[in-house]
Amino acid sequence: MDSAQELQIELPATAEAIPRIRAAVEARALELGISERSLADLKTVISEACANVVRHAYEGDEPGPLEVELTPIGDRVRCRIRDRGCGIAPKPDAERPTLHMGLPLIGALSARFVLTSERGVGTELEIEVPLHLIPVPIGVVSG
Amino acid sequence: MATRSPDSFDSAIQPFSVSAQALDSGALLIEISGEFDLAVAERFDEAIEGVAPESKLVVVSLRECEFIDSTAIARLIFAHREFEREGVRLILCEPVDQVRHVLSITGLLTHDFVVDSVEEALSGATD
Repeated sequence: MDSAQELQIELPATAEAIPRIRAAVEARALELGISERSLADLKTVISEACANVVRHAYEGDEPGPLEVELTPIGDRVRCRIRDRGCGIAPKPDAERPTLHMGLPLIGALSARFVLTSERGVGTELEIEVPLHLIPVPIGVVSG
Repeated sequence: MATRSPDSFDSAIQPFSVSAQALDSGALLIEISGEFDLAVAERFDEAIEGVAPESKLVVVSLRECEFIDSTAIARLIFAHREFEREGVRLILCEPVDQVRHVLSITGLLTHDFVVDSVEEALSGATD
């Protein structure tokens, strides 16, 4: 692995950080020659992972760090999205309009993902996306 | 390992906007552009809050919406439910590839909810 090829970003875990991280990841992935379809999937999984950090990692008003790394590994890119927050724990979220689709989307759009969490230490999501997915036509199905 | 500041990439972010206009048919056309995610979800909610179409149809054009995430999809589904309570149908149209793919993965790419053009949405509503 050529560590010089890595992209590393750290920002406060706010919603405003998400499009900034997405733009930085897109620029680096394009330098790596990622296909259009893979780039779309990569941007989606990064956004979902970062949104989970913003929503769930930190208690209180002060956002902690949101760290993102992007590393080329063979014919894939590996992303690590890390926080230093409370770890994964069940929390009532009745007020927030969410359908809890984030992690299933990450699973559907990545080649592999590993979620590691430790209470009071933080959570890390490692995701791998192929660099060269071939576009496939997407048709509307009868509802 | 080199740490890059994301500041230099900020200009690449496609700004989000949402606008609404009444069409001659009485249907309401909502046009979304830019990147629709958690960062702008509240702006979408504010933009459609209190919107009352003259007819029973709201068409949401995603032609200029370059990115969507699950937060945005949730907002669109909740808007759909809210309008449905008022007897109003909401149809999405013209999704770009990334949006179409995410809608497909989440099982929402159906003829009832997503069509290819504003015209198709308007004609379908009168079927």
